[in-house]
Amino acid sequence: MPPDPLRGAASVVGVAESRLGEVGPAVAPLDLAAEAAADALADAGLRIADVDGLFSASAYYGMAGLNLGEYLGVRPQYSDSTNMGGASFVAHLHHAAAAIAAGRCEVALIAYGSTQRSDGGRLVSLSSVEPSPLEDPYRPRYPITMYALAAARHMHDLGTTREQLAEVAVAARGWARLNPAAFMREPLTVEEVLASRMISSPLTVRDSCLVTDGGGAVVVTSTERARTLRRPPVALLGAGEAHWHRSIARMGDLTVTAATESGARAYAMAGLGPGDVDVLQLYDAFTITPILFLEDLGFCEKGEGGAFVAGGRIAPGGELAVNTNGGGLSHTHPGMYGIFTIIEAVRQVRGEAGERQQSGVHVALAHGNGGVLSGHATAILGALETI
Amino acid sequence: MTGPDYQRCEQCGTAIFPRRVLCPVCGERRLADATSAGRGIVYSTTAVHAREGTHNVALVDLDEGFRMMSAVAGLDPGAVRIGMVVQARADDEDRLVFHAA
Repeated sequence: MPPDPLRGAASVVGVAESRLGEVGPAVAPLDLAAEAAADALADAGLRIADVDGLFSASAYYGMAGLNLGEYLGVRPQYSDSTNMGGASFVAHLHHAAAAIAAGRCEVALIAYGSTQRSDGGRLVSLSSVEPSPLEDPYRPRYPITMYALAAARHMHDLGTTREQLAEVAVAARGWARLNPAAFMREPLTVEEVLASRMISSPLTVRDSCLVTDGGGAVVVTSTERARTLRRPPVALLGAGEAHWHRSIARMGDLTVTAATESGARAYAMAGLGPGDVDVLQLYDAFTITPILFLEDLGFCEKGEGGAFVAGGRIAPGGELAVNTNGGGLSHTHPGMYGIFTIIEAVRQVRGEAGERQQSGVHVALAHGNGGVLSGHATAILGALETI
Repeated sequence: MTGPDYQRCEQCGTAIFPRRVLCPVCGERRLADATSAGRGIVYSTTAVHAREGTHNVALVDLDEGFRMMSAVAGLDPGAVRIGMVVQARADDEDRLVFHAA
């Protein structure tokens, strides 16, 4: 098979996180998206005026790209507000690369911001404007109840234990302790996760992502132009998307996600496999999700995810570095986390992740998840020499 | 005792829930209306801990071949088990919930 023409055609040239944590009531979601956008463009040595492709998604703004374009003064010739929940931004990276390769834009800005913590600490989600007459009468707590149903079935079919779920939270905290920007950095044990407040069994508050404010931005251009810019380019080697359902009752087998397909597509485009990946950033909305994605992205067999994460194997010093920024569980989770998987993957490939930097990172994988295990997008990023 | 209404594809036989204008498997537009007998098996279950108390949320696979979100009543919310055979019944909020069969 000839190599995929999109492989390595576009590169990430700038990344930034905005202020994170709790920014207070005077700051709007767009402020944080703009803050991250300005910093990511400065990182790339580019200006807002250079942006001609705009990519955004939001639970606040139904026409996210229009709001962001107006705010920044960007008048894009290519605009994409695809909303796959938290998977959106990894999908945007795929779309941006395709648009750049097709000559529809040259400098793509992907940006996101949310102030959901300052707004009252509840997840601001599209579900609040998308009522479900089939689900609402049963009072599920969206979205944790849906992930709890998946976790319960994984435990039933495959023998996964609450202790193994807790290991995911403990590993994330271990990484967060190495990240000065992380929201929760105090030590955490498996026993503490198990003893924490149950929200929707088997998932406790410590099995759940944080509720924080925050924004992130990623700047993408052609790899040809990227070579002339100030930072080492991080090439998009592979990308894939997949979705099979929107509501949890339509998912089918709750132990197998569409990451199996998005991942296979990304590997095929990159000409790489799980064994080539040095570091992983997997959307950890709840502790069950990295277990599912390690299985579905081929890092272990189906049913071995629980054992795979046990004994600190994905924690600092473990065999496989997963969610090196502390993830949505301990670093930041402003409603939709997906853009932060790209930012951390790029930082690891560049070798600028400080105390949490892994040695010899050539290839990083970022996986976004959206809705209720619904939307999936996988990206494989690599240093220039991997093209 | 009856369960929820659903549709049966006249082309490929797929049980369809919720209501649609075409079959998501084969695209057929001729769908027959049907009513489930309300007997099913718990596919997954969770106990939701809310301020006002703990309640059950479950996914139930109806015998006719479709799945719905519901709740299993008449049991401790945490005592509901995957694989449990259940029967639909309207509760006092006029919701369709399930009881151990």
